[in-house]
Amino acid sequence: MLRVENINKTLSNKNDTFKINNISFTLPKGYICGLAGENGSGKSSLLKCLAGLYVPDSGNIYIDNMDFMENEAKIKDILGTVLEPCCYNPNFSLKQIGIYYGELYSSFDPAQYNKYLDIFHLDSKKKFKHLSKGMKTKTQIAFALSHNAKLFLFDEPSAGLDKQSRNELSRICTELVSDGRKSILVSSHITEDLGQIADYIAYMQNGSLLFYMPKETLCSKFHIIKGDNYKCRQLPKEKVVYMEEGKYSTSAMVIGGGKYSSDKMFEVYEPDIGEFMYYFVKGGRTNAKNIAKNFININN
Amino acid sequence: MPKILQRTLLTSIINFLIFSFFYYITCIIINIIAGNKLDIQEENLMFIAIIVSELYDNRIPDYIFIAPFSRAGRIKLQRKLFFYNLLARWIIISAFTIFPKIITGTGSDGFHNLGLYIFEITVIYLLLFITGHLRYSHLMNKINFTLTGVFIYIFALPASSFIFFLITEDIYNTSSYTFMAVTGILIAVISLYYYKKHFNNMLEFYSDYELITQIKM
Repeated sequence: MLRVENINKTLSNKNDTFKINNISFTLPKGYICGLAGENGSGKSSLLKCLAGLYVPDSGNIYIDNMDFMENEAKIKDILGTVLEPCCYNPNFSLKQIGIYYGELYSSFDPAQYNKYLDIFHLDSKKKFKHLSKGMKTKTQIAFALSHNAKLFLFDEPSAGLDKQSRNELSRICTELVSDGRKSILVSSHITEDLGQIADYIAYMQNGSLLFYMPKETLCSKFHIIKGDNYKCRQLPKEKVVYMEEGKYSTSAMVIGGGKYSSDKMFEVYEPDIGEFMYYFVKGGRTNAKNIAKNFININN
Repeated sequence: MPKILQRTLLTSIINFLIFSFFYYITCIIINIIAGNKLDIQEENLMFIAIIVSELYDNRIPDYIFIAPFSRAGRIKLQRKLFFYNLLARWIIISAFTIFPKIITGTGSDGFHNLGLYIFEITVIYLLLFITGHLRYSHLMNKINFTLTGVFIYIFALPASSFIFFLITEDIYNTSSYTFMAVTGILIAVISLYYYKKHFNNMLEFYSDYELITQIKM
């Protein structure tokens, strides 16, 4: 569904320059990819490149086997986007958003749009500018779901949503890809949400993609080890991604580490994606690139 | 033309119309208060109205960048929006300046007035297109867009136009029709040249989402 080949992009303003470096990955049909990374890592910029708002300096983007640059209009017709900042006219009511923007798509379904507005408890008479941040996101999602898109690009869709709406969004995302014909690329700093829905995880740092792989494979390469402080300190330092010492006990995420499961002094288990991200980000701020290079991609 | 663009165009024209109307009325009131001592020319008023209206947003809505259009498609929409806007402004300006003169003017007097007003409006647009060209050229070269705009619109353009109007009046009073016609055609040609430059610059700028969002207007 989505193939990204060696994308490079330099973004500059008066104060600084930011680069997206050589990003490549492939997202098959019927899957959800979670785009993770700290603030300023380049997630939104990458999504803007994929949505056609930024033109890459080099590299190619293929969506549904079509080259983006050659088939921009056709591709955008099958793209559903939730981006920040939102491009809707703030003075439009939600009904007007459906009327004016829906007309631009070949298969926009007003009934479907109204249905999603109802699901998200949004009043179609309300003006977009009077909505809360969460409600604005919901409106974008409702619109994206109403024009028969095949690839969805969601930039932090769960930001500003309450727990119930986040669960609702997760359910909708899972339902969307269940027919095996649609895919979703979703960025979020809420790793709990990514863990719930993502099949693939892409992790970005300083404009580079550190790794991209199936969630299960990724987590199986690491183990969380919990035990007494003195015992955990004996773990080989080169294998420890991050260690968090408490008053009496310590927990650490280590590379591999399955062999420690036989040690009764330790509690050993595979991390879920939320835990993985927590330890990886904490421990990997300085050497994440190294960890990713040596222990994630090569061992894949 | 998609509905969203029709709406944008309509809003822009209404904004211009409302602005022009209020500006015109205000000037008339000021003149009445001053005991009709001020010699306010309609074309001078409209000139300022055009400049200010140029500062209004005249570009395709942001959503067009996300919607299913190619770059060529976006440029086509922008071109339409710009062209219809320009046309509407010409008509509105003419309604305030040229048309009343034609209706009220008699014989050669009406002909004189018509010639002069067409001439003056051409000059206004010449100055605007040069300004627009400079402004967007500076933008492309990342020279401070706001400061350039402020300098050109607030100082350079009114000053040059004031001088030009003095000359125009002088030409009108002292020169032959032939001289005026030749000068008018020359200015129109230069206007078209700068119009094209300004237009291309503007299309390039407005079709680039990255430029629009990164540079504060």
